[in-house]
Amino acid sequence: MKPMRLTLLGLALVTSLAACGGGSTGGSTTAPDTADVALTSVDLAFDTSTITVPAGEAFTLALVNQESMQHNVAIYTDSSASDDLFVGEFIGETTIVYDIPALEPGEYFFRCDLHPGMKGTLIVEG
Amino acid sequence: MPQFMRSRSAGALLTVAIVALTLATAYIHLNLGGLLFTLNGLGYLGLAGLIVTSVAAPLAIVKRFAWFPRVALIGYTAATITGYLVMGPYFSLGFIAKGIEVALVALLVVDLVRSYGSPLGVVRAAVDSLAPVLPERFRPRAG
Repeated sequence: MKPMRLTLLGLALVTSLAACGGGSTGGSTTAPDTADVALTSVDLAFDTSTITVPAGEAFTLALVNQESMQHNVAIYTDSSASDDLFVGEFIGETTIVYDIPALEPGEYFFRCDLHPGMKGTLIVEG
Repeated sequence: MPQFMRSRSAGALLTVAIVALTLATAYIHLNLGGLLFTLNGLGYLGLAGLIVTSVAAPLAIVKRFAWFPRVALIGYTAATITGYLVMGPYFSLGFIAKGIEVALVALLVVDLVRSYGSPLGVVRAAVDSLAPVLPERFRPRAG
Protein backbone atom coordinates (compact mmCIF):
# COMPACT_ATOMS: atom_id res chain seq x y z
CA MET A 1 0.00 0.00 0.00
CA LYS A 2 1.30 3.43 -0.90
CA PRO A 3 2.32 5.67 2.03
CA MET A 4 -0.23 8.34 1.12
CA ARG A 5 -3.04 5.79 1.10
CA LEU A 6 -1.69 4.34 4.34
CA THR A 7 -1.72 7.81 5.91
CA LEU A 8 -5.27 8.56 4.77
CA LEU A 9 -6.50 5.12 5.87
CA GLY A 10 -4.89 5.58 9.26
CA LEU A 11 -6.33 9.06 9.63
CA ALA A 12 -9.80 7.78 8.74
CA LEU A 13 -9.43 5.04 11.38
CA VAL A 14 -8.27 7.53 14.02
CA THR A 15 -11.17 9.88 13.22
CA SER A 16 -13.67 7.02 13.42
CA LEU A 17 -12.32 5.91 16.78
CA ALA A 18 -12.47 9.47 18.10
CA ALA A 19 -16.10 9.77 17.00
CA CYS A 20 -16.94 6.59 18.92
CA GLY A 21 -15.93 8.16 22.23
CA GLY A 22 -18.25 9.72 24.77
CA GLY A 23 -20.74 8.40 27.28
CA SER A 24 -20.77 8.80 31.02
CA THR A 25 -19.12 7.05 33.89
CA GLY A 26 -22.52 6.09 35.32
CA GLY A 27 -23.07 5.58 39.03
CA SER A 28 -25.50 7.22 41.41
CA THR A 29 -26.37 10.86 40.82
CA THR A 30 -28.55 11.41 43.88
CA ALA A 31 -27.41 12.67 47.26
CA PRO A 32 -26.99 9.91 49.87
CA ASP A 33 -29.00 10.39 53.05
CA THR A 34 -25.92 9.78 55.17
CA ALA A 35 -24.10 12.99 54.20
CA ASP A 36 -24.38 16.05 56.46
CA VAL A 37 -24.49 18.47 53.51
CA ALA A 38 -24.71 18.04 49.76
CA LEU A 39 -23.76 19.87 46.60
CA THR A 40 -25.13 19.03 43.17
CA SER A 41 -23.37 20.09 39.99
CA VAL A 42 -25.55 20.88 36.98
CA ASP A 43 -24.72 23.02 33.93
CA LEU A 44 -21.28 23.93 35.28
CA ALA A 45 -22.68 25.30 38.53
CA PHE A 46 -23.33 24.08 42.06
CA ASP A 47 -26.98 24.07 43.10
CA THR A 48 -26.22 26.19 46.15
CA SER A 49 -23.70 28.90 46.87
CA THR A 50 -23.78 28.60 50.66
CA ILE A 51 -23.24 25.62 52.93
CA THR A 52 -23.51 25.86 56.71
CA VAL A 53 -21.95 23.35 59.10
CA PRO A 54 -21.26 23.36 62.88
CA ALA A 55 -17.79 24.28 64.14
CA GLY A 56 -15.44 21.83 65.76
CA GLU A 57 -17.03 18.73 64.23
CA ALA A 58 -15.88 16.69 61.30
CA PHE A 59 -18.62 16.46 58.66
CA THR A 60 -19.46 14.71 55.44
CA LEU A 61 -20.17 16.50 52.18
CA ALA A 62 -21.78 14.70 49.26
CA LEU A 63 -20.93 15.89 45.76
CA VAL A 64 -23.59 14.77 43.31
CA ASN A 65 -22.17 15.24 39.85
CA GLN A 66 -24.96 15.13 37.29
CA GLU A 67 -22.63 15.98 34.40
CA SER A 68 -20.25 13.85 32.38
CA MET A 69 -17.42 16.33 32.97
CA GLN A 70 -15.24 15.93 36.03
CA HIS A 71 -15.74 17.98 39.20
CA ASN A 72 -14.47 18.12 42.77
CA VAL A 73 -14.97 20.26 45.86
CA ALA A 74 -12.04 22.02 47.46
CA ILE A 75 -12.21 24.27 50.52
CA TYR A 76 -9.87 27.24 50.93
CA THR A 77 -9.37 29.84 53.64
CA ASP A 78 -10.50 32.60 51.24
CA SER A 79 -11.34 33.31 47.60
CA SER A 80 -7.67 33.68 46.64
CA ALA A 81 -7.67 29.86 46.83
CA SER A 82 -4.04 29.90 47.89
CA ASP A 83 -4.39 28.00 51.20
CA ASP A 84 -6.38 24.82 50.89
CA LEU A 85 -8.03 23.18 53.90
CA PHE A 86 -9.46 20.27 51.98
CA VAL A 87 -9.13 19.12 48.37
CA GLY A 88 -11.61 16.49 47.23
CA GLU A 89 -11.04 13.81 44.63
CA PHE A 90 -12.32 14.48 41.10
CA ILE A 91 -15.28 12.42 39.93
CA GLY A 92 -17.25 11.98 36.72
CA GLU A 93 -21.01 11.50 36.58
CA THR A 94 -21.50 9.90 39.97
CA THR A 95 -21.65 10.76 43.68
CA ILE A 96 -18.89 10.91 46.25
CA VAL A 97 -19.03 11.60 49.96
CA TYR A 98 -16.06 13.52 51.29
CA ASP A 99 -15.00 13.28 54.95
CA ILE A 100 -13.98 16.79 55.91
CA PRO A 101 -12.11 17.51 59.15
CA ALA A 102 -13.45 19.90 61.79
CA LEU A 103 -13.02 23.60 61.04
CA GLU A 104 -12.82 26.68 63.21
CA PRO A 105 -15.82 29.05 63.14
CA GLY A 106 -15.73 31.42 60.20
CA GLU A 107 -16.40 31.78 56.50
CA TYR A 108 -14.47 29.74 53.98
CA PHE A 109 -14.39 29.52 50.20
CA PHE A 110 -15.20 26.40 48.23
CA ARG A 111 -14.98 25.69 44.52
CA CYS A 112 -14.43 23.08 41.86
CA ASP A 113 -10.71 23.25 41.06
CA LEU A 114 -11.32 22.47 37.39
CA HIS A 115 -14.08 25.06 36.93
CA PRO A 116 -13.35 28.02 39.24
CA GLY A 117 -16.69 29.57 38.28
CA MET A 118 -18.32 26.85 40.38
CA LYS A 119 -17.86 28.36 43.82
CA GLY A 120 -19.54 29.28 47.08
CA THR A 121 -19.16 30.04 50.76
CA LEU A 122 -18.83 27.51 53.54
CA ILE A 123 -20.09 28.97 56.82
CA VAL A 124 -18.81 27.24 59.94
CA GLU A 125 -20.98 28.31 62.87
CA GLY A 126 -19.58 28.35 66.36
CA MET B 1 18.76 8.29 11.66
CA PRO B 2 17.75 4.63 10.92
CA GLN B 3 16.95 3.88 7.28
CA PHE B 4 13.33 2.97 8.12
CA MET B 5 12.74 6.44 9.58
CA ARG B 6 13.57 7.97 6.20
CA SER B 7 10.89 5.93 4.42
CA ARG B 8 7.51 7.33 3.42
CA SER B 9 5.83 4.57 5.44
CA ALA B 10 7.51 5.87 8.58
CA GLY B 11 6.28 9.35 7.70
CA ALA B 12 2.76 8.01 7.26
CA LEU B 13 2.86 6.20 10.59
CA LEU B 14 4.21 9.28 12.35
CA THR B 15 1.45 11.44 10.88
CA VAL B 16 -1.25 9.00 11.96
CA ALA B 17 0.21 8.81 15.47
CA ILE B 18 0.47 12.61 15.69
CA VAL B 19 -3.13 13.11 14.58
CA ALA B 20 -4.32 10.35 16.96
CA LEU B 21 -2.58 11.95 19.95
CA THR B 22 -3.84 15.41 18.95
CA LEU B 23 -7.42 14.14 18.72
CA ALA B 24 -7.02 12.32 22.05
CA THR B 25 -5.98 15.46 23.94
CA ALA B 26 -8.63 17.49 22.07
CA TYR B 27 -11.26 14.97 23.19
CA ILE B 28 -10.10 15.17 26.82
CA HIS B 29 -10.15 18.98 26.81
CA LEU B 30 -13.52 19.24 25.08
CA ASN B 31 -15.02 16.95 27.72
CA LEU B 32 -13.67 18.95 30.67
CA GLY B 33 -16.19 21.72 30.11
CA GLY B 34 -15.68 25.43 30.61
CA LEU B 35 -14.61 28.05 28.07
CA LEU B 36 -10.85 27.70 28.51
CA PHE B 37 -10.79 23.93 28.03
CA THR B 38 -13.27 24.08 25.15
CA LEU B 39 -11.17 26.66 23.31
CA ASN B 40 -8.07 24.59 24.00
CA GLY B 41 -9.75 21.48 22.59
CA LEU B 42 -10.94 23.38 19.51
CA GLY B 43 -7.39 24.63 18.98
CA TYR B 44 -6.13 21.05 18.95
CA LEU B 45 -8.87 20.07 16.50
CA GLY B 46 -7.91 22.94 14.19
CA LEU B 47 -4.24 22.01 14.30
CA ALA B 48 -5.07 18.35 13.65
CA GLY B 49 -6.96 19.57 10.57
CA LEU B 50 -3.93 21.57 9.46
CA ILE B 51 -1.65 18.54 9.90
CA VAL B 52 -3.98 16.41 7.77
CA THR B 53 -4.20 19.16 5.16
CA SER B 54 -0.41 19.54 5.04
CA VAL B 55 -0.11 15.83 4.21
CA ALA B 56 -3.14 15.29 2.00
CA ALA B 57 -3.58 18.49 -0.04
CA PRO B 58 -1.64 18.27 -3.32
CA LEU B 59 -0.99 22.02 -3.54
CA ALA B 60 2.46 23.55 -3.88
CA ILE B 61 1.75 26.26 -1.32
CA VAL B 62 0.62 23.66 1.23
CA LYS B 63 3.80 21.64 0.66
CA ARG B 64 5.88 24.82 1.03
CA PHE B 65 4.35 25.55 4.43
CA ALA B 66 4.26 21.91 5.61
CA TRP B 67 6.56 22.85 8.48
CA PHE B 68 4.05 25.33 9.90
CA PRO B 69 1.34 23.02 11.37
CA ARG B 70 3.97 20.91 13.11
CA VAL B 71 5.82 23.89 14.58
CA ALA B 72 2.52 25.52 15.58
CA LEU B 73 1.36 22.29 17.25
CA ILE B 74 4.64 22.01 19.18
CA GLY B 75 4.23 25.61 20.42
CA TYR B 76 0.55 25.15 21.25
CA THR B 77 1.18 21.90 23.12
CA ALA B 78 4.13 23.35 25.01
CA ALA B 79 1.97 26.33 26.03
CA THR B 80 -0.77 23.96 27.20
CA ILE B 81 1.68 21.89 29.26
CA THR B 82 3.19 25.05 30.78
CA GLY B 83 -0.27 26.42 31.58
CA TYR B 84 -1.16 23.17 33.33
CA LEU B 85 2.04 23.13 35.36
CA VAL B 86 1.37 26.70 36.49
CA MET B 87 -2.38 26.48 37.14
CA GLY B 88 -3.16 22.81 37.74
CA PRO B 89 -5.30 21.19 39.01
CA TYR B 90 -3.25 18.04 39.39
CA PHE B 91 -5.42 14.95 39.02
CA SER B 92 -5.33 11.69 37.11
CA LEU B 93 -7.00 12.84 33.88
CA GLY B 94 -4.75 15.92 33.85
CA PHE B 95 -1.65 13.73 34.11
CA ILE B 96 -2.95 11.45 31.34
CA ALA B 97 -3.52 14.47 29.07
CA LYS B 98 -0.03 15.81 29.81
CA GLY B 99 1.50 12.40 29.11
CA ILE B 100 -0.24 12.38 25.73
CA GLU B 101 1.00 15.91 25.04
CA VAL B 102 4.62 15.13 25.94
CA ALA B 103 4.49 12.13 23.59
CA LEU B 104 2.92 14.37 20.94
CA VAL B 105 5.74 16.91 21.17
CA ALA B 106 8.33 14.11 20.97
CA LEU B 107 6.71 12.67 17.81
CA LEU B 108 6.46 16.12 16.23
CA VAL B 109 10.15 16.74 16.86
CA VAL B 110 11.02 13.35 15.35
CA ASP B 111 8.80 14.12 12.34
CA LEU B 112 10.40 17.52 11.80
CA VAL B 113 13.93 16.15 12.07
CA ARG B 114 12.96 13.30 9.71
CA SER B 115 11.57 15.76 7.18
CA TYR B 116 14.08 18.60 7.43
CA GLY B 117 17.22 16.93 8.79
CA SER B 118 17.75 19.17 11.81
CA PRO B 119 16.23 22.12 13.73
CA LEU B 120 18.31 24.39 11.48
CA GLY B 121 16.76 22.67 8.48
CA VAL B 122 13.30 23.60 9.79
CA VAL B 123 14.38 27.22 10.19
CA ARG B 124 15.81 27.17 6.67
CA ALA B 125 12.57 25.72 5.26
CA ALA B 126 10.55 28.35 7.11
CA VAL B 127 12.72 31.20 5.79
CA ASP B 128 12.61 29.76 2.26
CA SER B 129 8.82 29.45 2.32
CA LEU B 130 8.45 33.01 3.58
CA ALA B 131 11.06 34.44 1.20
CA PRO B 132 8.59 35.74 -1.41
CA VAL B 133 6.89 37.96 1.17
CA LEU B 134 10.03 39.05 3.02
CA PRO B 135 11.66 42.43 2.28
CA GLU B 136 14.56 42.13 -0.18
CA ARG B 137 17.32 42.44 2.43
CA PHE B 138 15.93 39.52 4.49
CA ARG B 139 15.60 37.10 1.58
CA PRO B 140 18.07 34.21 1.53
CA ARG B 141 20.64 34.58 -1.23
CA ALA B 142 20.84 31.89 -3.87
CA GLY B 143 23.99 29.76 -3.93
